[in-house]
Amino acid sequence: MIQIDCPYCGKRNEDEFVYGGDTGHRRPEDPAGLSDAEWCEYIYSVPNTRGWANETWWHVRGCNRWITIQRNAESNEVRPASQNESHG
Amino acid sequence: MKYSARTLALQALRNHRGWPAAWRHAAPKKSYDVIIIGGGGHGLGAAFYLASQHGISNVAVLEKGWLGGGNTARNTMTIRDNFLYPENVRFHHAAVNAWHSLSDELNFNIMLSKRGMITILMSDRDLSDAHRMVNTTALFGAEHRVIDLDELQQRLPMIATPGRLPVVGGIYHPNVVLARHDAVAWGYARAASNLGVDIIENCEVTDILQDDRGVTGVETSLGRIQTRKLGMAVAGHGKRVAAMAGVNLPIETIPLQALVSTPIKPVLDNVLVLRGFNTYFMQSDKGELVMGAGTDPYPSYSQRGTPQIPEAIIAAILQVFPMFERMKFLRQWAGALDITYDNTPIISKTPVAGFYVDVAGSGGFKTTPLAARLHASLIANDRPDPIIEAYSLERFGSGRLILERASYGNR
Repeated sequence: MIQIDCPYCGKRNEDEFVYGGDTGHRRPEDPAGLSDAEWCEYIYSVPNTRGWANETWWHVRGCNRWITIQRNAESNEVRPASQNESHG
Repeated sequence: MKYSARTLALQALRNHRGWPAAWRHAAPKKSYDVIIIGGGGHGLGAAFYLASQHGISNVAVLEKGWLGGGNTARNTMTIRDNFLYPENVRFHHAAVNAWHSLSDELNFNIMLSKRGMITILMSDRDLSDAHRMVNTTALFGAEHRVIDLDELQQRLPMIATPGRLPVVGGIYHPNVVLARHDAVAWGYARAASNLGVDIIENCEVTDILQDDRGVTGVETSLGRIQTRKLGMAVAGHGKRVAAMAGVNLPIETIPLQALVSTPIKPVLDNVLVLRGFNTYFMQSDKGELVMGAGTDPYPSYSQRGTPQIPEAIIAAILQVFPMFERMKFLRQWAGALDITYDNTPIISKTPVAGFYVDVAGSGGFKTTPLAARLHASLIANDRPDPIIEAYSLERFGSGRLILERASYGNR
């Protein structure tokens, strides 16, 4: 079980959280300006990084806040999102 | 060497010292007519059908690890056809039927076992959905049947009906079969190798090469190999491999877990599905209860899975089958599944000429022989068979998705 360090509640088990996705996968600023192909790519294609990525998680069974962490999708290790690399 | 009772008897007289290797371990040649990436059931099957049905035997299968060591080894052997949407009903019905002759076709015993499956329904909503599914799929020749509580209790005397969650009936799926998953990879490898296909293990593809006319070859850990036609049958890492060709596949890698108990004497013939709990289980030939879960709640390449899933499915199974309460849990694992937004496979051409994919089976073991055969015909003819037209990559641009809820990728 992953333990996620919530900045408000401390270390908690992953089943208190809901996965919110890769922060690199953001809704485009101007959807109307996109081609169909670009829009479909946003809708259906996620980064699916093998390795470290910034992710949002919702602490729904805790403080109810959205937090950003880094997780390694290969090993499931987690660490705090560094301020420089954080997209969220 | 053809496997037969005669061969077995002759080998027995020699104390079984004369069996040859089932397939050749080949070193890569400089070029091939077709290269298949992925030495699991789907990839080896595609190579076999290219050689046996299309006369293309100058084929190599490149496998990063060992043969059949990915999701072919990690599934729960269950081959089912309970789907709802026309494209999937047609495909999976044909897929189940394609298994029946496979042992004969390959001259290799894949240990097909006609078990049948029962979906256990636990609410009136389940029951009305069941009637919808049975009636819809009957239009395409599928033979599912709703059974009432009496028949269910007759078939499964150990079911606990007065539990906290009332059991109201079931669906009987007579066509569901089990097959020895490793034997499928071994059988295809042996048959393909006999037809001249090169099977190259420990060969990782690191780049896909192209010119303005399409694919020209692959760069691998064993050097460059040329080809004009490249098929990909990769599970768990499909997006990464396709990205080497500049193709962005709309898939996400999510663990799907399974677990087994210690073996017990035969108690269950059918595969059982607990609808609403995203779980199913059956008893293997060895006597273990094999339990399968729904997908994990977040994407990951780890082949372990998160522990609350086994906990939840064991709790669910014990609600309905308290007789298994004191059984011991033996082992647990996860396969890395490539899942599409609509939980439906992609067997398709790609924007890169000469690059074809058979990925995202969402539990793709059950479709191995049919998907492999149609992938092979797609590669040989450069156009899809009508039955897989709906599985094209173009559906993500046209919006013609098949939102199938019966796949295990359903969340």
